[in-house]
Amino acid sequence: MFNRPGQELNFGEVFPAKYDRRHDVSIVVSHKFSDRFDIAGTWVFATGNTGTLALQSFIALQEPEYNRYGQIVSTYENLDYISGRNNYRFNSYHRLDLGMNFHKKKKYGTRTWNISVYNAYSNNNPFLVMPTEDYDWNPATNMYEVRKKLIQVSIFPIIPSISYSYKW
Amino acid sequence: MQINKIYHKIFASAMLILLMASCEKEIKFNGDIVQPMMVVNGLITPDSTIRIHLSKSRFFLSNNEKTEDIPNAAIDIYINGQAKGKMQYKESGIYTSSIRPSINDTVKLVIADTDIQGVQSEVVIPRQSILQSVDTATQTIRNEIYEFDGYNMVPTGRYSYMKELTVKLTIKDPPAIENFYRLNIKMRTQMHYPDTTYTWEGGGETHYADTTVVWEEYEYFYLEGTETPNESLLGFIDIINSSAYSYTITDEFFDGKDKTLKFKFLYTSPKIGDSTGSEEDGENYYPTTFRTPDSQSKQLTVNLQSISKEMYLYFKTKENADNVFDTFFTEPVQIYSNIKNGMGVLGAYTNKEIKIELP
Repeated sequence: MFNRPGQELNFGEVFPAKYDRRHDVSIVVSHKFSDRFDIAGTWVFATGNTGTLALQSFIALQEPEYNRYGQIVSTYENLDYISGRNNYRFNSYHRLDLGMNFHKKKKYGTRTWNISVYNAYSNNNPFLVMPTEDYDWNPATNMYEVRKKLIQVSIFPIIPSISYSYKW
Repeated sequence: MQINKIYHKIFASAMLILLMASCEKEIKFNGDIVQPMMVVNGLITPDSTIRIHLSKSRFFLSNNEKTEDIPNAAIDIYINGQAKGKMQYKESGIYTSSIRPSINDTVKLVIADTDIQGVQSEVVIPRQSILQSVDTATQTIRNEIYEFDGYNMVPTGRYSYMKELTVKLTIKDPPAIENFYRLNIKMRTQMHYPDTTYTWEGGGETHYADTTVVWEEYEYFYLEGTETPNESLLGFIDIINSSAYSYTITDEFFDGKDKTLKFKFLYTSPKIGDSTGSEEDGENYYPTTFRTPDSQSKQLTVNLQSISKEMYLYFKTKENADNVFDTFFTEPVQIYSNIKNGMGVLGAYTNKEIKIELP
């Protein structure tokens, strides 16, 4: 439906790509202390991705305007208003990866033990963002009250790893 | 050695906490707080005077669930570019006027308000749809009545009878222009209750005067050929036939040709005593109450509206937004609007009604 004249994606308006990262920086540091031991670290920083978020809601008349009992409806339907695709910029993305290698020459080759940490300071990088609601008890009114909030879901917190390799 | 063990435990616990910690957290909204915008809801038809509803949109993180109507807006109506006066505020955000547009009129509304940014919108009243033919057929559908005997549902030997009406509408679509249609059906039921005096078991009487009751209701129906993907996890392979109050159709695939729309509709016969019966003894069973109608009639109004493109896009995108299979990865559907600087819709439609007396 939306690839035809007058019915294009985002109603024909330009919109940013999902992976439109204006800044994307990686700082890599590595040092070889000896033939047996070296370390490396990478810090990645990037502008957050974009996502589509309905920033407003509005009401629509129910259609047809009569319910099953022939009465004019007095209630309305709530709809989300999306001003444009990918209209919301997520929080910035950053993480630090660290790794160290222990090498040792063996009879037929070299073995390496590697210890690494992905996202060393366990930054909650945005994977997706969505609105949700909590129900808070208000003792003054003796009722639960809705509190809308924005939440961010993150994946891949700190991930330590250890590996063994053998080269010959 | 003991210290090493403690360190190991602390390290393992810290790792577990970090790995198992919730990956969901509340964040601060870092965009601009969007100011409320004017929402216009108006569908214009030559059959009645212009009537619209005005309200304000709400910021998505606002805890105020109440919709705020706009009571003091100045609404100018222009028909084919000529000013035709202002709309008057009635109540609950509804504005009315005494102006009744005609087919092919361009209706423009310019709306200003002191509290919120003004909007404007225009729409052309579409020509009436052309119905080439209307065919109807009725058949009786019999279903055995089951009752719960305390353990299982068991057949009772009694049957309920429904009528199934099949309606075929053939549209003659004008060529070379985009046409949009909306089909809905409305049932009008008329029941007559005779003058009755009911004697209560404990004594006393209640007198009911001769009364005729009439009501109309829109009916759910299923239009053939409008299968939609199921909203289940397997939605990409499941197809369901979902009933709706109305169907919007574009002539994109039958421009300039005849198009037949077919739907079936189940209803109970208006003939008294014709809805349930016992086949064995041939007696009709009708649940008697102290007040039973002595006659009733049913009339079906099939309305093939010709609708404006704006109205079509609005309803179609609204339907798509409702039907989208909602997951983390689904791109939400934007709802079309033709309100400049605002939201909502100013649509137009022209009715084409056919009335069918139901047997």
